Amino acid sequence: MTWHLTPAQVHAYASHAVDDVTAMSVEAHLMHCAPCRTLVPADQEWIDRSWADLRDVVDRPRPHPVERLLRALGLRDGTVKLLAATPRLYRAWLVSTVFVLVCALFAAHALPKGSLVFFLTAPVVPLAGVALAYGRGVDPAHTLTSITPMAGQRLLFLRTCAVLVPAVALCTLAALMMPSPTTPWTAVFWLLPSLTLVAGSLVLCRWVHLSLASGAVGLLWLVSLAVLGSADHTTPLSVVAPHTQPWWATALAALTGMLLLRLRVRTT
Amino acid sequence: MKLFRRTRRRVPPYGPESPDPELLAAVAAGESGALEILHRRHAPWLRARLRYRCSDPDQLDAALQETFLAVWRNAGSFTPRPGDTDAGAWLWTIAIRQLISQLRKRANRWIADSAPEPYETIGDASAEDMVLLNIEHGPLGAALHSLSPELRAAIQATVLDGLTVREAAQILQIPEGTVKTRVMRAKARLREALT
Amino acid sequence: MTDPNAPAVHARGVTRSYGTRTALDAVDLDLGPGVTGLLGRNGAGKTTLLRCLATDLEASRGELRLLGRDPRRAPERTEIRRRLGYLPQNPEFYPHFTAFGLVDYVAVLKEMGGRRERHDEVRRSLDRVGLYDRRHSRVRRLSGGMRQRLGLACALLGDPELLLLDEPTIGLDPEQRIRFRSLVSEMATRSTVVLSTHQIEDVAALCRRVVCLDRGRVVFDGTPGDLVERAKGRVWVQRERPREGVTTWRLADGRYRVLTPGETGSSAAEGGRVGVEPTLEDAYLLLTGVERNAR
Repeated sequence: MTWHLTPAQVHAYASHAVDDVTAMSVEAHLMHCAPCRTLVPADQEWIDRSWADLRDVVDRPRPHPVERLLRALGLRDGTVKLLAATPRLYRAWLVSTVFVLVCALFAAHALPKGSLVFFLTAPVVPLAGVALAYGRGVDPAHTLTSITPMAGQRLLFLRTCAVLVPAVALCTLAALMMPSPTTPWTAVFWLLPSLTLVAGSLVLCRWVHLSLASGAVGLLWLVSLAVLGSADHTTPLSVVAPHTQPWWATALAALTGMLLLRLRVRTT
Repeated sequence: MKLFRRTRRRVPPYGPESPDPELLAAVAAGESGALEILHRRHAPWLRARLRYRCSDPDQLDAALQETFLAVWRNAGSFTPRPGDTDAGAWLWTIAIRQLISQLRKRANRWIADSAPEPYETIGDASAEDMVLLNIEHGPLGAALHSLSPELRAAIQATVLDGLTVREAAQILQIPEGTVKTRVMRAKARLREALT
Repeated sequence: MTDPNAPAVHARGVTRSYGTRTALDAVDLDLGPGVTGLLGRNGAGKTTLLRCLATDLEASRGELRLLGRDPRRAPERTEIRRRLGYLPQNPEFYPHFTAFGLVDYVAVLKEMGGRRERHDEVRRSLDRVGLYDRRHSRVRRLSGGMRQRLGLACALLGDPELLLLDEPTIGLDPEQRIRFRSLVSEMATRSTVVLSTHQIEDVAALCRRVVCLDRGRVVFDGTPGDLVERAKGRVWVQRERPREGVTTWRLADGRYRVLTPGETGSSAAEGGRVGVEPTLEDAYLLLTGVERNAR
């Protein structure tokens, strides 16, 4: 480049104050002359704003496949973030859930009274997940998040949902693979007890740590099974028998009512 | 997964003083910081130049936004000529095309965006470019001055901005045939004036 | 309901016990804008106090008001938490998160609006602690000092009115500590900052008020100058190993620096002692170590 524009020429061009021919000349020059381009006055505020808009697209972190799936289901961005951020134990729980259910299925097919195993473990599976979902000790970032406005009940229920949905899905899948149920309904008789146990532990965690509450409820379940098993004229299977379902439904409704009441008291 | 990560291209070092090709290489490797430097360096003059072709600031900003997004996605396709340290011309071709697509979007908001047209450049643009660079100093300046505004606009769109006939027709909002005749007439006038 | 002129922290007789052990014993405090340093030995109750102020623990007894609100009542507690930033001691994170993802997660929990504003705030926060360039690194790849700064970035989100920092300078190198100080003093122009630390230099550089805790009680509350004043005439340098100096250490030039509790000047002539100007550290040592043993 043998010649350069004067700052005055560039300013006149940038402020739209030159005729067509001069503008063409300036443009033809600017296209190939970096030093003259730096003379074009820059509106710093506009540049910052423009870059912020651009950065928001360019620098958006790549979402995790789970996050993408949840977003495709139509959940809000913030909720997706919270559901995807599960404690490390979550995966271990998911793996062991699959393992336990596969074992139960195997027992049901191979052993004479094997289907018992499934009906008795299925209600505990979601409970175990809930126990590992929230609180000091099981959630590494708990100290950091426990003092945020969303912490406490809201995060707890969200985490519980993150556990319940896959747990119920997996158990249902396993139930459908059980050997010849008499009616399709018998395959889902575990569901109400299972939800009742989870609701019970959530009610209890008002006073004690969630893991402890879930442990206590789980223990209660096992003890009552053992009692029923040792008695003469009852079997453990009668807990999930059709005629007990209304009782479970009543208990679940009562516990859910308590939870909803507490949630309302807390948030208003 | 691990293997995949390891084969990721190493980011070349760059700074605010790096030449455009180095910055574009860094952008191609996924460095948003390099894009920021390019944005600071080129956005002001591109904006000033686009302002001569579109008076709506919102469309203008949208076009610039799309320009740098296109740079972000296609930085790897920039192939500098040996010894060329400047991507100004490359950025301009992206910017003017983004402006046209913005204008088209506004014009046919209800019509689906058509695929980009094949290039159909007319005339020997680079040779004429060289002449135009000296407009102020040569007899061409006077010749351009003597052209009617319509003919000048046709020359500007096709020669200076490097648009195809179809694109020029879109930005000038006249039929393609008219662009062709105007460009031919303008070139004839200029040749006359220069000989 | 809330008094805008109320101090950020108002505590009267705040007590917290774990079973039979009393971690905080009838603490009275009023804290306003500026940096307050919280000093004390390990187990003196600093972390318990900060956790009470962070609404993480409830006081067993006493009256506590934060930002003019009562943390015992759930709606008011949520309101406090919206205006609160807390860096816990040894913060832990999800190791598989990126730095950006983690701060973004905390920002969601802090109820920060739309995605765009939230992301901008996350970037600003990461930039303030010098982690912007590492925003896409996984937490497990960050060094200890970087994790500490990541925790700070979470605490700084949304410019909290009450910022509680528990041992924030652990793991920071000297240069980062200087940056940290300028960041905190900038925050302190608008917010109430409470800083628990063992680093006396940080207190000397940043705090215009010092609160010393010992076995759950406030044993000193005043300016750093007041604290130093208390140590006047009780700090000496001498050649021989002292017999009754309770706290002493050997200096590089072979002499001994001696801190004496109790009355001053009684044995000034002994062993060629020379009185020297006390530092904040001397004063702190006298307060927490020497006085306690002598009591």
